[in-house]
Amino acid sequence: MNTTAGSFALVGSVPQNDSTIVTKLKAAGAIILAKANLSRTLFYVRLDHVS
Amino acid sequence: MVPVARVHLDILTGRLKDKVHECSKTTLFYSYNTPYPTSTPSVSILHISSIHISLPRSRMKLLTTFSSLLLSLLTVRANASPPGHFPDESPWALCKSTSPYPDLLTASLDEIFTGLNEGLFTAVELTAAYIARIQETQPILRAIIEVNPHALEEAAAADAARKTGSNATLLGIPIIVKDNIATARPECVLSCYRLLARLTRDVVSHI
Repeated sequence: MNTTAGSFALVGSVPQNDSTIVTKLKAAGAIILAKANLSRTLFYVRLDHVS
Repeated sequence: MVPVARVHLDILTGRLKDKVHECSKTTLFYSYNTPYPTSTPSVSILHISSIHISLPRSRMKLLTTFSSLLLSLLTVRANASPPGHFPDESPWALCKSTSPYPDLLTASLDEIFTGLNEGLFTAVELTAAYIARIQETQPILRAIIEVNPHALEEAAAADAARKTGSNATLLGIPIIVKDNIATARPECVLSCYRLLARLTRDVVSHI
């Protein structure tokens, strides 16, 4: 699945490997349902913004 | 807004999906007027502020005098209700029904896991219900970037594994991960690449 960190610039960026936590979740039988939105690249231009 | 990944739910009319639609109008409306209570004490704080506003000004002093008593009473009452459940006067309680299925808005992992183990519903129905909820709120909340196009297949695999006696810790539990967590390209055929091309085109067309 796309892993964009909320940035349009990274649309189409699909990692070759799962992250460690996703690997462990899948190993435990969990279904990765979707990817949740977030502020662009985790961090907005303001330092006091809640990411 | 066009959903990034289209999942056809017409053939997946699960029982839980009906329940989601049953309370969707209420919850969607109140999600913008009422902060979603994560714990019961926060609900009591909300009620205290509304009482302050609704009373006449002449009684404000009296209320201030007994505010600490009121606070303690409300806190005690709030603590009396079990965690994860909303008080009866809460707008979220309108979703309460006599259905044996857990309310998806407040369902705990234990409730879902028990339901799956007892055969109350399957992982496919559960996943379809959550996808229906995502599609329902997506035009306004836009909380989801991409729905896993293989989620229902993975749910079916989890159901099959459960029948064979597997007892993995999170077997058949749908989980949403933040989009900065790497999720690899699934092992799939060419259609996956076609989907990716379409997805890129859809997103770019909405910029």
